[in-house]
Amino acid sequence: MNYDSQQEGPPFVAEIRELGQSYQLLANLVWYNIAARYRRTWVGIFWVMLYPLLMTAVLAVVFSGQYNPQVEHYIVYLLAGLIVWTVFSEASASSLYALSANANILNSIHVPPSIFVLSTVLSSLIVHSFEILPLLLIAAMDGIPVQLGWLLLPVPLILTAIFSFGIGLMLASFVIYFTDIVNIYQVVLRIGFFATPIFYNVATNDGRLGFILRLNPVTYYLESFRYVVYHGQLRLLHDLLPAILFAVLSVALGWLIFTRVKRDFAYRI
Amino acid sequence: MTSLIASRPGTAPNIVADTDDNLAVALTNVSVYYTTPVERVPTLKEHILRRIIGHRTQYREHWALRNVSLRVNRGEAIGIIGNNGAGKSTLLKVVARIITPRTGRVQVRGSMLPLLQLGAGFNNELTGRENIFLYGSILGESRAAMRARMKSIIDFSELGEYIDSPLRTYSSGMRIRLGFAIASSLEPDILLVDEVLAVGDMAFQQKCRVRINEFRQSGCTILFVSHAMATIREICTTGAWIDRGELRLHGPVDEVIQAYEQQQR
Repeated sequence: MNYDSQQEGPPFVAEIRELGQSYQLLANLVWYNIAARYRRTWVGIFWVMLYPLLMTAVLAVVFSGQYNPQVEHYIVYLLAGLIVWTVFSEASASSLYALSANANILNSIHVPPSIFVLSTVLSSLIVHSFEILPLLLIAAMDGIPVQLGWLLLPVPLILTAIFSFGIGLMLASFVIYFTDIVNIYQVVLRIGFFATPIFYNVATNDGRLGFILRLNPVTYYLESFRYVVYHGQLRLLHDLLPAILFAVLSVALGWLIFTRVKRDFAYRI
Repeated sequence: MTSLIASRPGTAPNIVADTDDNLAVALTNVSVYYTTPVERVPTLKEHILRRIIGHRTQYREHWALRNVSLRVNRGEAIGIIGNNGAGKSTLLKVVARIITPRTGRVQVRGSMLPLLQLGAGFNNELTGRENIFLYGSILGESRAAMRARMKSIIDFSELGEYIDSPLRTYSSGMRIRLGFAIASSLEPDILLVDEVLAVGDMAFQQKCRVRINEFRQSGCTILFVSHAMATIREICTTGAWIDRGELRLHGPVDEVIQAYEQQQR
């Protein structure tokens, strides 16, 4: 309740403390954000499930013909990849607007600003988690055995969200200084779509493309998620460990940058 | 990029803390300035190009507050007056922790309710009732606490059955009534008010004044920004006159208003 501007401590610690105290606000922001988004639409949250299914159908038609990815259950492969990619791209891209969209709150009440980035990322994670249902349904119909290991599916998806949160923090910080980041990031995501093994198979790509795919952090989240769908297991060294490392690295760096510039937000938005 | 971050606000020199028990808010040598580019804000490309050719964008410093020191005691109701752009709102934002001052020290003792903009964070797609929970949590209140106050909030807002309609169907008056009803259901130690009473019809304004007077009688400290001198006289005991970012006068409310009005003539 008491506040003293000289006893705040380092901002990256103070922000963690305040974020921890605001869990009720976080829950409300996430819940009402999702509720408001789909309330007026006719089929509501089913839109979210429809989109990757349609996208998968298109990609399947385009790529199953002349391009042979040498992947079993290619439809499942595509859909699983798209779900992870969508969580990452949507969560990080909407973080660009997380602060400006809530400028009226930030300009009239003291709240930890990172809460808006986190609530944006959590909304994306929760909404797209619903896509697991059609994915597993298709997987089962396509002959992948129904298995208890599918309960591990949230693990790679949550890691994807953590990684996206870090990237989102960096983007939200930069966009305060340069609005161009919005356009630049759109291009980055377009390129990223092709630099991520959404429709390629990493194992059969050894050349330049394979090198890029292995350098791309998002690859490890896709690979990990797919392996759980296919085999109901997590592979520690092959993809889980890099996925955890990239997530920790991204959040640590994002947090340092964000809390370093956060006092500037009030002067700039 | 670095040149921009270098101008980060901070609190460098150590200022001795005010330890008086009677204290509610203390500002010590608080300064706030905004740097606004003299030229048009550059895009990233221009910024890089300018860096390469060695041209630095020129910035002008606008001082919103300059070396302001102000003590507000517990239970004091202080009216903050001054011309437009004098820095009254910036002063409230510094107390509300929205802006971290570039220099100086801010101390606040007790829970605080800033009424700077009513209904900030309202969501148009949600019903009035849902917005009570949402806005309540923005103000730091739990769901349970809001549920307990639900009836009195709906009564005060005079929204009746409209409380379960989406906010986008509300008139601006209804939104303000709901915003004030939610905010004023809290029981803060310190209340910050910035011109929010200037909106709404006469009957509602009267109701708000009554509510704020209730706050004052319950021992709440009030920092009240307004251009309506009559309202300030009614609510406040002391006054502070801010003139071009500097504290010109702080004393009994009638003296401060008189000095301010004399200078206006």
